[in-house]
Parts: sequence; C-alpha cells; structure tokens
Amino acid sequence: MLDCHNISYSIGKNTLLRYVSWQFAQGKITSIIGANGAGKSTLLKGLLGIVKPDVGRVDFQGVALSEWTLQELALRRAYMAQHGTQRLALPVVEYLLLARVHYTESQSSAEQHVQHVINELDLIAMMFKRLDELSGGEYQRVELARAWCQLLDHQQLDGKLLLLDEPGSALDINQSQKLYQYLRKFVAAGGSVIVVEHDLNVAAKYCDEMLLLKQGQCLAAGKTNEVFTQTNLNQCFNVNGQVVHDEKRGVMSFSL
Amino acid sequence: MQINIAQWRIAQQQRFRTLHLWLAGVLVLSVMLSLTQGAMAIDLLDALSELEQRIITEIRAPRALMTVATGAGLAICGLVLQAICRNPLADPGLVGVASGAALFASLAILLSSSMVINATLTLFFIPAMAFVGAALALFLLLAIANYKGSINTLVLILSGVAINAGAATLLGLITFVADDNTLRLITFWQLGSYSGIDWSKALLAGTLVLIALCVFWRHANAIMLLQIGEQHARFQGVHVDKLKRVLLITVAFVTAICVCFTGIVGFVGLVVPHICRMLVGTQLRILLPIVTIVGGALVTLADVAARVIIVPAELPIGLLTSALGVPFFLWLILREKRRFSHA
Repeated sequence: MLDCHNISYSIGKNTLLRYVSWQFAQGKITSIIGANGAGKSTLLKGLLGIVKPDVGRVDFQGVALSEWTLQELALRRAYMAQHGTQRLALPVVEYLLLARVHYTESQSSAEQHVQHVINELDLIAMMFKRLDELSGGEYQRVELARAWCQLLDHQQLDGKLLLLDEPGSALDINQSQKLYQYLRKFVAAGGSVIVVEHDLNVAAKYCDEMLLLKQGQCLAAGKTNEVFTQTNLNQCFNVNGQVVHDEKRGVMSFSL
Repeated sequence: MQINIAQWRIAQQQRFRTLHLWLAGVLVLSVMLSLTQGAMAIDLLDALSELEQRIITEIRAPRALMTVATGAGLAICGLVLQAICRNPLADPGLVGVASGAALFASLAILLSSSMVINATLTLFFIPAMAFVGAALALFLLLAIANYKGSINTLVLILSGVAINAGAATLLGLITFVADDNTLRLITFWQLGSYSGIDWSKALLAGTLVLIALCVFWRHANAIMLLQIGEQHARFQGVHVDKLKRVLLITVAFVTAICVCFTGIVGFVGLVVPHICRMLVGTQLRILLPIVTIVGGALVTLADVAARVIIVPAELPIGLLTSALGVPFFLWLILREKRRFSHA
C-alpha cells in the first residue's frame, strides 16, 4: 500500500528521521508510536509528501509519491489533521458534499455517497447542524466522515488510505473508543489506516500493526502483539514498565 | 421523520428562490430610480421628449449599468478576498490595489494641470493612469508576497499595508506640490463620482465583472475548501497556489476597472458580503448571485441618493458609502473583538 524505503530527514544538524523503512499493510490499522520528539509527526508528514526526505523515497501503490497528481491522490488518500480545520458556519451536509468535488458525478450520486457515510457513522442526528455548533467529539466524527466521503468510490473503499495525526488528543475515553470502532469499520469496508497515536493502550487494543520510533529510528515494527513487548516499550520510552495481558478480555496494556 | 439530503436541498432552493425574487425586485427598482431621478426628474410613464430620451439613453442608462457593474464587482471581490484571507475584514482596498490606482490618478491630474493636454486626451489619461497604478500595485503585491511559488496570507495582508502606506506617502508629496485647483480635483476624484460615464466605459466594466463572476463561480467549491484551510484544500486536490494567483489577478483587474473610471467607492466590498452572509450563510454558490445583486443595488441607490440630496449638485458617492460603511466596520470589529476575547 504505502512503502517507505530508507527515508531520512534532517533540519540543520537535527536529524529527525534516520533510514526508516516499512511497508504499511493494506486493510490494516497501523499505529506509529514513540516518545515526544521521536519523529512521529515528521514521519507522517513524510508519508503524506508534505516533507520531502533527504534520502530514500515513499511509494504509494507502487508509484513514487511525487509522481502522483494532487487530484489522483485526493481520490485515494485522505488526511485528518491533529487540530482539525477552521470551522465555518456551514451545515455538516454541505461540508461533506464539498469532499466530493473532485469526483465527476451527478448531484444525486454525491448525495447518495454522503448519505451512506452519514448512516455508517451514525451522524443522522447532526447532519443539518452547523460545524461551529458541534462538540469536540462530534466534530472529530464529522472529520472522519469527511475523509470517508472523500475516499468512497462506488460505495467502496478498496485500496483507499486514511492518515490521522493523534486523533484522540482532544477526546475522552468513551469518544476515543468510538472513534476507533469507526476506524475498524473503515478498515472492514476495505480501507487502510495509518495513525499517529500517543495512547499506547488504545493503540494496543485497536491497531493491527505497530511501528515504534525512537530518536528518528525505527525501533521495531510488525504485528501489534509481537511489537508490544516489555523490552521494546521500555527501550522506546526509557522507562521501566510492564506489559499486562488480560487473557479473559484479550487485551494488552502497558503500565509503569 | 428525518428528511434526507435531496429533500433538504429542495427546501433550501425554495427558500432562496423567494429571496432571489425579492432582491431582483430591489435591483430593478433601484435601476428605475437611477433612470428617473436626478437634476431633472423624468416620468417614464409620460411621453418622453427628445431631450428626455437622450438623457436616459446617453447619460443615465450607462451610468446605471456602471453603478450596478462596479457595485457588484467590488462586492464579489470583497467576498472572494475574505475567503482567501480567511479574514472577515478583508476588502479590495486592503491589498493596496485601490490606493495604487488613486496615486496614479492623482499623478495624472497633476500632470494634466501643469501640461497642456487636449481635453479628450485628459478624459482617457486619468483612467488609464489609474489602471496602470492598480496593475503596478498588484505586481508589487505579488512580488512581495510570493515566496517560492506560494503566497502566505499574512504576508499578503502585510504587503497590502506596506503598499497602502507607500502610496499614501507619495500622494502626500503630490498634494504638497499641487496648486489649489489641482488639489481640489484630486480630492474630488478620490471621493468617487459616477458623472461622465458613457456606454463604452460602462460596457467595459460590465463585461469584466461578468467574466470575474464566471471565474469565481467556476472555482466556488475550491474557494470554499481554501477558506477552510490551505492544507485541507491541497489534500482534496486543489492547486492552491495556482488558484490564489488566478483569484488575486481577477480581483485586481476588477478593482482597477471599478476604481479607474469612478474614483474610490469605499466599503462596498466589506459591507455587502457581510450582510449577505447574515442572510444566507457561507455556501459560496448561494452567496455569489446574492452578493452580486445586493452590491449592484446598493451602489446604484447610493448614486441616486448622491444625485438627489443636493439637487442640482452631486454629493461625492464615496462619502455616502463611507458614511454607511464606517459604522458597519466598527460594529464588525466590536463583534469580532467579543468573539476573540471569548475564545
């Protein structure tokens, strides 16, 4: 899906990324985990093409990122920024319809797609509310719906990629859990997700794969249950904690 | 029972259709007033004398077209600039284009007073110079604000402030060297007037405003994405830098044409988009036609008022629009201030 080959990036004498390589898998949620300043956001920017790596390259669906046109990328890849966007006094429906402008389709087709996403994400109650009237959690869900609308093609999400930068930072436990349940729905519909997540336990519970970053280097990457080990996490965060397996509920968590 | 999107859209369209009809009525009414009122009141229902016919077809009709065109033009430019700058206080005067035009028009008035230029040439000399000034201000603006092919909005506004300041300084210099009579002419030009408009000028302005309207309409969705955020627009496939350049050049052309024939008719680009947003919200495809109509009607009515308040003389129209615009501007700032302090 998205492959990065040996990417390095530095600003002045600061090396932010050192030879990071990983093939992000299709149909999975992959989390990018690391301490503050480990280069998570920089890696995400590299994957998005906002930051051009000094060395190495990023391929999206087998083609170098730089060779895609903006429109082609917009049809296949969506991004949810950490703090969202400026909220206009615009009804949710209009905002979602705007995400369809790069498709050549009839008005009714656009409306059908948007309606489908609204149903999938249980947004019916707020579809005619204005963006600037929503709560933080509601707004995050609308943003997810926007990305979903942007990518949905003939009611399908096959081969589509969603990138998120710390989506849970403004959400409480309940809202964050809901968000990940919707992300699981997104993956079940054929999409792939890459998410920068600061909450280890949320990542362990909902993400299929995990990439640990330390000082710009990839410390470990792979299936979440293989990467989420005591040794890896202690090394990654410079702490002395424990991984606890809750066999009954089938979840892992890390605590100090 | 929850309504679906299609039903909602139809309800919206019906709502706006009524509003469109009302506003179109106001526009027609203001054009009728513009044709009939003035130094000589003409009743269109009576049989018209030859003189009355000539007054209408050769003086008042082109003048009415010009007021509608420039009012609409300034208003849609304000609307688009506010979207590009993501700043509700933006207006065509803000980016320095209008003051560039004013500077060069004043220079033209100064030159034509000190040199012997024949009268018909003077008629074109001043607007032509105003246009050159507006174009120069635009190129200067793009040159300063452009950084590696992209235009930062904050830098754009600061560049506008710098250009305005530079133009004001040079204008001060012109004022200093000008004699009393020239000074009077310069001052009057800056206050704005729609007298002396003929068909060629009105049609030129009308055509350009129509083209600008088409450009803005075509890019309406992209402009909305841009208003939400530049990165947001880019990730949704919008070539942000190209779009901004196209929009800015269009805005500058329209402002230049509006200002060069009529002087500065201030605050239209600020006031009209705001009133319309209060009526219909932020959806650009709904706003554009409404802003066009309201802008055209407002300036036409202001021009009528300018003509009838002190018959047979004419009040400078810029005074009227400013008298209307300044309190509105203050109210906007107060409202924004309250919002910012709550944030």
